[in-house]
Amino acid sequence: MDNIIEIRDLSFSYKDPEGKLHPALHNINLDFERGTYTAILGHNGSGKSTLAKLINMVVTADDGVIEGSIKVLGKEVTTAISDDDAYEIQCRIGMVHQNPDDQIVATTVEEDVAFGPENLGMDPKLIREKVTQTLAAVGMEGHEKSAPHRLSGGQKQRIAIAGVLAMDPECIIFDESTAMLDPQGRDAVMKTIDELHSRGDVTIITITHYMNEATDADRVVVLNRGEVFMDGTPEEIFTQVEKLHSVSLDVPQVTELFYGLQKAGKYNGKLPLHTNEGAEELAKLLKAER
Amino acid sequence: MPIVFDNVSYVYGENTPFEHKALDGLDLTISENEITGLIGQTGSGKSTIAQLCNGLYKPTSGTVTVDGVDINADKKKRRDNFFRVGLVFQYPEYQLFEDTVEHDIAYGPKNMGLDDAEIARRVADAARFVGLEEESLSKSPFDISGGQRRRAAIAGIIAMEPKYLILDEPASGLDPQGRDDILTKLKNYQREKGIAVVIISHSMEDMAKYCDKIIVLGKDGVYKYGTKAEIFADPVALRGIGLSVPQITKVMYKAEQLGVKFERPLYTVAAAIKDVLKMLDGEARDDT
Amino acid sequence: MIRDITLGQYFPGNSPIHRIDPRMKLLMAIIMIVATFVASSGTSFALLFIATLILFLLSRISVKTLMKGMKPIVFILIFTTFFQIFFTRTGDLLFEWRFIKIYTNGIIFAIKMFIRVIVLITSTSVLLSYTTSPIALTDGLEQMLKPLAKIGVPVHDFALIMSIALRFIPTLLEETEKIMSAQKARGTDFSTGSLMKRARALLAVFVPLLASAIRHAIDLADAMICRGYRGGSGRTKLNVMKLKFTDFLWLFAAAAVLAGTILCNPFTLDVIKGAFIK
Repeated sequence: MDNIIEIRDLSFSYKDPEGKLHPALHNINLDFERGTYTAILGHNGSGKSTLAKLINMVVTADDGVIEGSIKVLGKEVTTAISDDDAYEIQCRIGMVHQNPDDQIVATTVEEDVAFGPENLGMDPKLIREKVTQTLAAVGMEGHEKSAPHRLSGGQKQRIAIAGVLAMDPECIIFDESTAMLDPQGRDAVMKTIDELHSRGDVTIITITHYMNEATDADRVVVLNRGEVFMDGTPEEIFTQVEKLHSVSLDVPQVTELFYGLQKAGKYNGKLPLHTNEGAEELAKLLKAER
Repeated sequence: MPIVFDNVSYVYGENTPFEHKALDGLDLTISENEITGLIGQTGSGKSTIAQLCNGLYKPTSGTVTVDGVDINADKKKRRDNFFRVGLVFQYPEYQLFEDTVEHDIAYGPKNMGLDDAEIARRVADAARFVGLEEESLSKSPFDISGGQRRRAAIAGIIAMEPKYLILDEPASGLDPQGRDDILTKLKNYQREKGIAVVIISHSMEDMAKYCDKIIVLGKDGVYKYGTKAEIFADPVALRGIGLSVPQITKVMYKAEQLGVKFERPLYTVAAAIKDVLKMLDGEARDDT
Repeated sequence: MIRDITLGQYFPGNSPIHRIDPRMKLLMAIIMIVATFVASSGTSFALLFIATLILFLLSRISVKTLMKGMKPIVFILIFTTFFQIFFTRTGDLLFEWRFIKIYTNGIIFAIKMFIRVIVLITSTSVLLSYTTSPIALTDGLEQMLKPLAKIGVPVHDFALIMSIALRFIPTLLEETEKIMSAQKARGTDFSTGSLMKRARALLAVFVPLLASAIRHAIDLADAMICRGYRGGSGRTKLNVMKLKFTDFLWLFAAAAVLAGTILCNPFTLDVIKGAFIK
């Protein structure tokens, strides 16, 4: 198996200015296989963002105490790592953040997408190709000369994705990238993520607390209080309604409905996760009774 | 008496190259003693409406009356409107600025010119309503968690004890737990005080769970105003103006297309389970 | 809405002036400034005036826009003109009424001063502010000052700071507007009351705004690191500025205007003086 990220026995505590430790992650063991799409679910404070920041070395041993190991692209990132290796990893592991405004550097869309490739010292002609190609990939072609601050939140996030894509990353981490968007923006970003995944050449990790954004992933990891609480396919995870409720996480409404029917002894099939699936199941159930 | 918009238009940047009509001839009523949900796509003028309600914006034409008084008629009473119609902006935690949470909540009441005893009572009251513990009151607003900051900011408006409380996306960015928590607290607050609360939100699930009535904004003003059952009865029409319905309503709607008939529009999971079980039981009884 | 404001006074367009390389425009602006200061004769002023007029016409910027841009300096312009007319006491006396005495040199100086200011403002604003986007200007400056990097001047850093500032001005303006509204809704009164009270009211805007700016800065720094930023060395550019043949023609034209101004100076001054004395 080809793992892009391997996490072993990882624990992490933040150190505040007074030197007090605040535990954030405890005994995490996770592998991320190349080309897969994983959603990491959890509450605020569950440690999901900290995990992403450790992988990408935005949070390091300078910020707290790390135990265990994280191997990214085969290199250990928790201990001393050469600047060049660190740089290499940061360029290969792209990251899309939460606030669309805080990741746009330039005053035009094309210059912003070009920012990463420019840092890599790419040839201007190649950069131009990358800009055209990645803007098309996120459905923002024709906006090259637009001023980013005039775009909607969803459009800004797609520009940010294009900017990351332009660096040819092997993995993209979406750190609550939809949290500040309206439903249209959220849909557009989720659609873009799905398309990236279907092309299959990039590993995707999304960090979210929206359940319905996790149902399309290959795998769902639920973090709770800094520990891996659940790990499995969306079907395996979301059908354990009770367990999710116990840490006050939601399941999709359709799953909730069938779970209610199941509890009443009226349904014993597989719990559906998606709207259409649920509607068909429901129709079958009600017609069968007739 | 309610908030009434009569033929209200609002134009941004009038007489500039960027002139942009946000509202055009809007009629709208916000009733007392219930929670009204205001939904619409981005750009449908939801936030503009919020700021017209308390007089931060003045209508380009038309009138906004609160309790039967045109709020823009008397310039001197402008500030009174802010206190009567409390407005919580989106991401309100970004407006906190005092040295302690307590002082920040007291900021509004202080501006109202209340005496110290009354201010203290209101601060304690508001903190209790939003569920802020005693110990966080003495902390700096920059030292508490994001969820607590949101609550502190909402408490700052509640402490002014407005007769109308308008909240622009009060739960945005919060996780499911935080979201249910703050919305439940608002609902309890409304029920206890009997005031009018308006919640602006994108989340149909939240609307279905917490509101009494819903105003749907379309491209040209109010598309529909009514009870949740009335609003969610037609998912296709809502889709047409770029809005969705709760997933449960979608499931029920699609099941109906597959030949099942439900007695009423369903928009919460609890009601859906109840109805489906009733149908299953009812038909089971028919068979016997 | 506030985000609609234009940055500086840049008017997007595709006129011949818009298309000149920003570096050349910077040089041309410098040349024009020098020319206005060395000009002293009538002909040289006429030459400058015509050159500026051509620049202005080619830029397709409307007179109204230009006038608007002039507004802040109109008062100073009128004041200095009158000052020149009434207080110059050399040349021949043309007019006298009680204490008011107007001399020929007063008129001449006033006209020169007037043209000098008009030419200075018009040529630089047509070349730079109206037809060059702030970002192109920053890039141009960075390119031109690049040699200074060799002696340790952090040219790239300055340029990056400039462009990020330009990028965030609309964002922060929007936030200021929002915070002000939010505080107004809590009863803050920004416009009445004692100075102390108003300063306190502004605090309610400055503190959240500062907090927000710091948050932006921290997050942006993270985002930039994630996108492989590590200073200016080794960086390439999407849009490489390339000098075209026409850019050199423009520079040549500007240089010619300067040369013309200098050449016209000594002779024509006498000629005009002679005409007035007669």
